Amino acid sequence: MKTILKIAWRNVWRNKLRSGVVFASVVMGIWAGLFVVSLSIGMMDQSKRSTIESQVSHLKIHSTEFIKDEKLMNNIDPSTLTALEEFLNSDDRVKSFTERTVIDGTVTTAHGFKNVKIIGVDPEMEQLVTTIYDRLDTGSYFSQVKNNPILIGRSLGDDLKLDAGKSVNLSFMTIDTNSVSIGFKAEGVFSSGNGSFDKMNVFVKRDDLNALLMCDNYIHEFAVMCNTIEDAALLADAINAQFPDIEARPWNVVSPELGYTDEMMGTSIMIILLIIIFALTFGIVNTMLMAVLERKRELGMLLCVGMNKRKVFIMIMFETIFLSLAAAPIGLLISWATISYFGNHGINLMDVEDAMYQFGYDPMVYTKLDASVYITITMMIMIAATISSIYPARKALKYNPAEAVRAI
Amino acid sequence: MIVKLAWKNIWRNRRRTFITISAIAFAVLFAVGMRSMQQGMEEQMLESIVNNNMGYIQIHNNGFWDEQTLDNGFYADEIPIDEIEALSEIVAVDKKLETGTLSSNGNISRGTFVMSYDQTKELPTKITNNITEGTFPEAGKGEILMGEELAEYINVEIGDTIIFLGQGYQGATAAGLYTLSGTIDLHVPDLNKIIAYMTMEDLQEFISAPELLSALLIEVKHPDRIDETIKDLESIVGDGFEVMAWYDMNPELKQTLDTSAAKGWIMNFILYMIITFVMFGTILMATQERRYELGVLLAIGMKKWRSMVMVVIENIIINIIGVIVGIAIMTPISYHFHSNPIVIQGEQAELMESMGFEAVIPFSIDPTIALNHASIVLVISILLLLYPILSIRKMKPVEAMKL
Repeated sequence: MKTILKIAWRNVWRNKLRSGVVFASVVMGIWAGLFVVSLSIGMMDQSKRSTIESQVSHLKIHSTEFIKDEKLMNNIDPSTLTALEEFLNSDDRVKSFTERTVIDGTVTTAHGFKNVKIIGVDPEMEQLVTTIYDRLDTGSYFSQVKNNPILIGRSLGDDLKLDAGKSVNLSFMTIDTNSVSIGFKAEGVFSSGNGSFDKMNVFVKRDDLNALLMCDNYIHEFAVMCNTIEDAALLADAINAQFPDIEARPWNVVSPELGYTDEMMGTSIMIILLIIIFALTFGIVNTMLMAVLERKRELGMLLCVGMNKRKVFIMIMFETIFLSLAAAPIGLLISWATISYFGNHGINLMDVEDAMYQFGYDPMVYTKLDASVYITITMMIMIAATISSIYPARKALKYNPAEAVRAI
Repeated sequence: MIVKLAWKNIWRNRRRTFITISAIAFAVLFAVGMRSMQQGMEEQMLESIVNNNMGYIQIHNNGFWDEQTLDNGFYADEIPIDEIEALSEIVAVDKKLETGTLSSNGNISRGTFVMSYDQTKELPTKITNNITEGTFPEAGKGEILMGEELAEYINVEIGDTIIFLGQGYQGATAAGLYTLSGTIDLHVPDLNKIIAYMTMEDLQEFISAPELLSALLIEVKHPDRIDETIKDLESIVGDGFEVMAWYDMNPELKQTLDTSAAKGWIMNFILYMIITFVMFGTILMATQERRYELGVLLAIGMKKWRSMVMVVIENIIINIIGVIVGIAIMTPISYHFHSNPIVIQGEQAELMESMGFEAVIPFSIDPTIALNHASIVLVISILLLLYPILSIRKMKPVEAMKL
């Protein structure tokens, strides 16, 4: 056995060209498999993360009545409010949270009106939770306009011919069911990446809104970001257990379609991975078949001098195993390098010139992969490579030594 | 003479020829297969979203899209529907009517978005798959189907009576009593709180405007030729109506599909790298294997350029055969998976179905896929002939003939 190992090892080095091809096939297979998976994961992650950061947050907390009916008076009870603030401040899973007043209202300009959700925010707290401040197309984030500033979405602005610096009227009901109509000044126009979110939501300062509603600290909604997304469900359970009259819902309950996309991508990744492994296997089979053909004389010679068929078979298998063992670390290294590079710099999937994607939509995808996946896929490729050398090796055994040795 | 030699060479070493042909054929098979699958998925995603919600094209009264009220609706006889249906591109024309109203039970009430379905047509799977209790309303019975959370909120159960109160067409007051026939869960909580369905006849009666419609939903034969179809439709319906394509009404879907196509191209690029390598490996080993033979030819005085031409001719013939074999194998496979798509199993399938997607991955049978990708493979395989050409150029007959 030791001799066979030695012969196989020397064979690998003797014909460097042939070894190079098999070696490179395995390297490329590992790289392709890993890169495709990391790209798919990156894409899923990107759309999810972008929606969570700009709109959904990791969890949202409302009063139980508010979830059923988003009415003005279904706010969070002041005593619960203080207790909840304390709870969130002391829980170390919480990264940041913000408190909002959320009411229904109408935005009116000379060009028409739209029903919207008016969200009153504390600009500083909000900045720690959502990325709206970073997604302004024009204007600024609650810093320039002194009196009643408002942030509106890009698509709402287009509909109402509204831009930063222009004035709008907001009308809504106050607590004593009086209807008010007040002038606001558009300070900025944001694009969250979701056109219908932009059309249906406007942001104002919570203090301004509470003053107009004639109340103080009237909070309907908490939006919370956790340190990791996995904490969201646990934290929601903890809050729900402690506070009976409010309900905390994690992102996948608030916005179930975000969870679905994960599921739907899974199958297509598996199929593509299979195609790649299959193509690679085929490539190795083909190269090795050609190699066996080319080595006809050499193998015939070995058979003639008395090496038995089993040993020839084992020798060819060992050659492939050596090559894939050597290729694995190189393939891993190249994969790791490209995945980290595109993980930092991103891949641009869209033509940036295209007007449709100028606002809000993020066409950059950042590749990403868990360490365990690196190992699994590398193992899969190595196994595929080894298996694919069985058929050519068996072919070699069919040679008639006397004829093969005369082959030129 | 060279051509003859090349032809004989192809048949002389059949095994080598066979291996090379199979490499090219498989390259075509993989490239075409992967793209057919991707394109099939994209086509299906578009089809199910578009069919369930909005049609490829919608026609409404001018101004309806910006302000979706009943007063911006139109009467069915204002548009020559027969003429539209007669266009060769049009598969079906569906009528749509929807409006907002207030539904109440006792002193609980909530704003409700009422959609209606033309009872003469089959219900979309998005509805039939998601009815949680009861049935879809039948025509003339004054029945409604409500979102689960809406029914729960106004506290009604199947068989209970609900009061609808709202505004009808052109300011008329609309009021009516309806029986709850079932509940539906559309898997979008915000929608479940406001949605209700009834038959078109009942809804038209409620708003006291028989034959009033909000939109015509149009299904087309070739989604890729939608721009021309829109022009045809515009000339039929005239200036008083707006004809909109799905991508104007739902730019987010267009973004999703474009992103998916861009990703498809990256995947294809990676697959092509592997394919190129497979072909290169094969041609490299094939050249190695015949070094001796080529060395002999050179030694007996054949000019190098002649032997190069000979190898190139041989390989081009082999490549073309390979490409044809590849297409010949792939076409029936594509057709098979087009009519018997890969079925997704388990929990994932349920999720997809509940969202109105069919849980299958069909293959596209667009003939341009095979044509484009087979040509790409052919071009790559011809470029790879540089290797044997270069190796003949460097070849020294004496060394080549050493064993």
